[in-house]
Amino acid sequence: MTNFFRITICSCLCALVSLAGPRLHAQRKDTEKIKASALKVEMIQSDQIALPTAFKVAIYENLLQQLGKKASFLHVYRDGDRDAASAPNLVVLHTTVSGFKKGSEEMRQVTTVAGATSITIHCRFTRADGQVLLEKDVNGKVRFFGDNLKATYDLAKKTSAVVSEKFSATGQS
Amino acid sequence: MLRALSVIVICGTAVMASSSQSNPPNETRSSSPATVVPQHQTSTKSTAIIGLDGVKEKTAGTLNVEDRKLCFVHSGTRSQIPAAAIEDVVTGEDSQRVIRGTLGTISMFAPYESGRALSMLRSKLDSLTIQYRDDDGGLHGVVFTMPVGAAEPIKQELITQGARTTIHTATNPNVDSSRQVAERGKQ
Repeated sequence: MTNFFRITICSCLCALVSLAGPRLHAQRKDTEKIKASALKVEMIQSDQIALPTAFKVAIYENLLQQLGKKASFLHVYRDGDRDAASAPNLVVLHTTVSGFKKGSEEMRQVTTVAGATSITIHCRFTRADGQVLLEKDVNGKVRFFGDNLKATYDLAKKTSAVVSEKFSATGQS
Repeated sequence: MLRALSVIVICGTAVMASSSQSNPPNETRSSSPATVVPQHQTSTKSTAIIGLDGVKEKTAGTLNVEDRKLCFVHSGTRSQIPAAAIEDVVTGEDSQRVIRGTLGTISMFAPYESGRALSMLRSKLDSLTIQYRDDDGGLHGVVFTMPVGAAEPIKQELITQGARTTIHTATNPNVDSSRQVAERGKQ
């Protein structure tokens, strides 16, 4: 009889831990999100890696578009926007190209397996005073369909996913 | 038989499309087509790839420089960028499929992998990349594509009207000036 109660209590405890564990973990993840109300996107830097200007511009503009969609809780400012200076809880996104392989759309369409375009950027999120909040490498690719600039769209989507995952609006839990 | 016929039809369409693509790059538009009047401003068929405010991606229209502004006109809507606000104007080169859009997608499923062969029919393009500041100081970037040889005259026109560039003179207009920037960066 005593054994029966022990087994029951143990199995109840196991069930409780397995059910509540992930929830508690998720809650802790939520609370770990960085609070911000505005995000300023700096123009992408490519001092070390040669990146055509069209790609730089496309990454920058796609980033602004995707952040507007996926991280709508943030007010997104452009590089150099004077209004950003007065924004509370401003986060600045600095991006540097760390890898670039220009593929070929023709090669992709003819061979299917070759000619992929790939761009890797190092994202550094800082406060306005320069305090680093988060650093992450993001990779964008176009493997099969689409022109080379589509890699910038993929990159922007992934970067904005990082923002929506790691940041939350000020006042939200 | 049916497959062979469809291959012939697709190839025929490709040839027709390629011949329609080979227009002269700069076409002068005048109000009265019957009389030939010399004009200072030339409109160039162009596609705004990304970044132009109020214009969807990959919108076709015409591009010209007038009154110290870069104007992009499409379906009655006019977008303007003051030349003085342009911080950098760079030309480049690219290519695109001759058969694109819906027909291009359908052609991918053509028999005997003929869709792949059609992918090799490509037309060359010039790209014009512009970075400019708005009234609040915010940086904008716009990428246009246009027929070969059309980007460099627009760039020069913009520079004479107050735009700035990181590459002042293209030694060879066929060479991608953004590639020159990259090479300079490597050095």
